[in-house]
Amino acid sequence: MLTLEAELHELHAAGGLDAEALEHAVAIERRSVFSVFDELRAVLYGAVVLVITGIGLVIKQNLDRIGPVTLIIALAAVAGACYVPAIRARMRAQERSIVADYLLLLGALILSADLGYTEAQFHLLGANWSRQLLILAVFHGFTAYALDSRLVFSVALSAFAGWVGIERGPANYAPWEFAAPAIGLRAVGCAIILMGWREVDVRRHAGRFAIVLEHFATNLAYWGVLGWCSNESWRPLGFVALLLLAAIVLFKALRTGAEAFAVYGVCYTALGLILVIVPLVPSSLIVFSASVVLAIIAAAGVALRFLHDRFREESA
Amino acid sequence: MSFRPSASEERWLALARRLGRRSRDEPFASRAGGWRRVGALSRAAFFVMGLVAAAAIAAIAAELFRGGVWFVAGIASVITAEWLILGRRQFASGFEEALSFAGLSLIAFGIGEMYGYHASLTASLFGGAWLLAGARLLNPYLTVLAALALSVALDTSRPIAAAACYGLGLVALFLGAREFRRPSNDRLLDVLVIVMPLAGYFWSVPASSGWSEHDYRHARLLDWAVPLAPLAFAIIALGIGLRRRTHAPLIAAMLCIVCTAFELRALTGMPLERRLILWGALLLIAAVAVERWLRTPRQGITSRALRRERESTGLLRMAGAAVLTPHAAPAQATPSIQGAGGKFGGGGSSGSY
Repeated sequence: MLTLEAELHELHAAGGLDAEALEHAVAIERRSVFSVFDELRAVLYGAVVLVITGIGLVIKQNLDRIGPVTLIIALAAVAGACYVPAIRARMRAQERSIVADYLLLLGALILSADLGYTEAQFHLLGANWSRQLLILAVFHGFTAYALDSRLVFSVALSAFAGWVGIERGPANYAPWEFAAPAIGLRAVGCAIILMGWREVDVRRHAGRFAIVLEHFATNLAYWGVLGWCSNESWRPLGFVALLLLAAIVLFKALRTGAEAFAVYGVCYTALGLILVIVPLVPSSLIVFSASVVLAIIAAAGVALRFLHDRFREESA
Repeated sequence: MSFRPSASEERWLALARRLGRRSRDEPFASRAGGWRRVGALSRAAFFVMGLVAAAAIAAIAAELFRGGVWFVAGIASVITAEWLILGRRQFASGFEEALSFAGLSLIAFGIGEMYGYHASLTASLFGGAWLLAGARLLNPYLTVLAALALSVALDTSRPIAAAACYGLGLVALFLGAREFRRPSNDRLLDVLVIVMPLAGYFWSVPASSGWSEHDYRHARLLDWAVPLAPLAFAIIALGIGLRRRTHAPLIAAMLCIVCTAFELRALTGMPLERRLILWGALLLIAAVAVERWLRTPRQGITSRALRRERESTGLLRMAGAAVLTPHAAPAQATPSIQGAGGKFGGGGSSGSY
């Protein structure tokens, strides 16, 4: 068992740690206080995954036995029950427990499945079925603000991206899936809307979800731009957009010291440059192509190291 | 010039990481001997970059040399990694780890090519290469990868390989009581405790049955060893984890229980969806009970967070929630009334979701 207590005292003596922080850190090192918070969080996430997968299967397979109206009402009731602990904590102005946080997520997911099922059954929106995703995005967004939940806000953004036409799924995360310029355009458009939303969030809600919006917007924008970079006719525009995006994201990384944005800015840009430059090299010049890749990776490595050395603190 | 961080330097690097401080700032920089490491996200990014760089080196070598391509590419990658370690004093930074890992793997591949491929030899060569890389870089993940490769290299029956993996996991579990100077040794034991029982479970599943559901209601007594071994490991690990107050045994216990539950999935005879909802609900109830019980610390154990959330963990949480969001389009955009073939609802509608 590793204990760094001696180093902590040395650090305190060198003035690198105040007495209160030392006491807290030593208690953790001695294990006189021990948190199972992370384990609990993993269990809760696992439980949510199991229940929502099970409900998905129930919807898919057992309709003939249960009946659509009964199922819709039952799911709505379960979803509603999942919201209760979070609403109660909010009304009592208490700090919400992690269990309530994940129950709220489960409720939001069940509600999404329920609405999707209702639409599949009754075609209330007809050909405009995808508007259910917009309805969900608005509802989950409202709930997230009302109950201050990042998890539900992530669900809202995911539903919104779905409404815009960016379907998730392992294959869709690959840049070449965005090769169709229209989908790339949608991704970039969605990112711009999210950044607008971020501005509103900062001005009206003290930036409660600004960081979530920034992460979503950055990833969407890069995926869209990488799609353009991998498309022959859109490559010039993709290249310009890539450089512009890299400048914005790297500036953000330098200004805030956020490690994730440095990683996005460097890695996505390196990938984009490879997608733009390597196809221009004749296929017979393998050594040259590989050297270009090597040079881009080396430059990316130096850039990421440079940025990392400028961060205020490590986020290991 | 030091070959790698001393135990004391490594401890200061570990402390900087634990406190969320930069290892290049004082008083850490002088005590860490100038060695530098990066955050988790950057390390992962650097590792991927290093693998791409090694692939590019291999592609260049394949074009420029007629023979010994893998050796040339491997040696070039290892030399670059060593330059980063010795010259730039990089430690656990991803790039040098990937280059060293890929370089030694390429050399192992080259040796395998000389002697002809068969599973045991190939696994031995790769296991040896990863063990070397793990020991050189003090990287527990590569060392455990080597242990997994060596379990293949044993070329023995599956039950013996399973017993070896469980045995190694137990040894690591009990060795965890010792205090090591080097944090990397402690980390190695943690990863072994988590990974080896999973490997043991993997080996204990008979190759003939694959991953299909096994009917344990009519199984022989000996067959029960497959689900009971991870359960036994879970009970031991849970006890030790709570007594020592360390996370790795608790994680191992959780994963082993998942293995047991997965193996016994056909025991109740219930349909899959009912099982999923039931187990999920039980997990939720258990989590609620534990969270409430430990809200006030019991003998120092609490369900509350002691440190602020790290950036990488926050990102994982957001991604985890987004991934679960249903996006599916309604299964059919056809009118709700169909002539025939309906499964439910009025008028023969056959919607599914």
